[in-house]
Amino acid sequence: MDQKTMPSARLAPLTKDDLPELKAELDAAEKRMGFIPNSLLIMGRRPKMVKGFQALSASVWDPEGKVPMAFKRLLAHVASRSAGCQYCLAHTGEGAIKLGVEQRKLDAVWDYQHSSLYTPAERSALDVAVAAGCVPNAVTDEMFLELRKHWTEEQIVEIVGLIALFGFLNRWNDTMATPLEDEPAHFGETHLAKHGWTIGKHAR
Amino acid sequence: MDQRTKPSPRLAPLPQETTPDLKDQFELMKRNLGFIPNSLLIMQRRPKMAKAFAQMTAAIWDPEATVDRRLKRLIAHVSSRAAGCQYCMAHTAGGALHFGVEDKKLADVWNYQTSPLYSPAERAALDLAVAASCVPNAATDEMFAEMRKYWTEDEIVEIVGVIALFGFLNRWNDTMATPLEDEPIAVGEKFLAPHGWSVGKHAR
Repeated sequence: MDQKTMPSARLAPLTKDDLPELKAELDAAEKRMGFIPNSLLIMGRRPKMVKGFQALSASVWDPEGKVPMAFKRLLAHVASRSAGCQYCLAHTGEGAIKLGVEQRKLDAVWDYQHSSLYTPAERSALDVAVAAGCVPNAVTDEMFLELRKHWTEEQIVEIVGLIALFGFLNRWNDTMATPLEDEPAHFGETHLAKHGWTIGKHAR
Repeated sequence: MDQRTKPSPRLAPLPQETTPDLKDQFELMKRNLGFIPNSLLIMQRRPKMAKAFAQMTAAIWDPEATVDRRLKRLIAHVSSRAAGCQYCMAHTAGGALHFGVEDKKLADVWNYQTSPLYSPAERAALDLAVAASCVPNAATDEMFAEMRKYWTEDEIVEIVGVIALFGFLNRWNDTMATPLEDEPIAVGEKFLAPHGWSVGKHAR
């Protein structure tokens, strides 16, 4: 008898072996993250889309960017929280720690407006990320004035590009109910659950 | 005296000559759309991002894909409406007309669930687009079961890819308050204003 009570995935992740034409892209993702995300293995059914997405993702996470990489994970994290995507919350939380964000700083991200671990520059960008992740979009001209005090126009494009990339990912993963991989699932249980995170529909 | 009472854009579109490297992409857009969207002219401050984004959109609108591109514009349209992005609503309505959606079908998209101009397959995809663009995401397993009646798994990836691309664009343009260009403003005033659309913060 089948004991499984969970519903099956909306669209199952394929395997790397199913997708020989995407070997380079999937290897690159595995190298960067330590595993191949199920989001890409689901998308594999349209190989050109995976290639386009990986190009966009690489440009947003460009190591030559002018906004610190670890901080960008925190921006992605709060934008994903506004949009309610638990899959992306776990990925970005774990990613932030891997890139060297201290655990106590990640814990304090739920209170970045008051925490002394965050600078005024960081707060101005996090404010935009939170507001941009809402529907309807809650970003204001005043938030941009504040951003301009701390960031160049090029950095603002980098910041909003990152927030928008997670506009893609939040919708993709919350719509597909992408199954969360073991590593970020463990991270979520250990570090995010105390703030109300649950794996929900991504536990499949 | 400066008579202008509107606030300046959050980040101004730059002239197309700013990035010679993007000439090919810009020419392609001029051919396809009749103009270069301000969204990309703003993004130029990070040329790699603009280039990769153009690659991503080309993958989503791939002419070899199997979901009718007219329906894909309508999917993008209802998705943008659910998210509240007036800029994207005007662009996608213009794109739908450009690719041959009849005026009366576009006018009826506000009523796709009951309009005889829409097929059950189209309704399933539009239902998913609306739900996926809400926060929190309202897509359900039942919607996927309905999708599977009409669409292959590859096509479902293609459809959710369109919806997710507009997750990027809705956030980008609503956050940047991207100034809407003349052609889509005309489409918005003619076809969308009777349903409550207004140019809002994109009139700059």
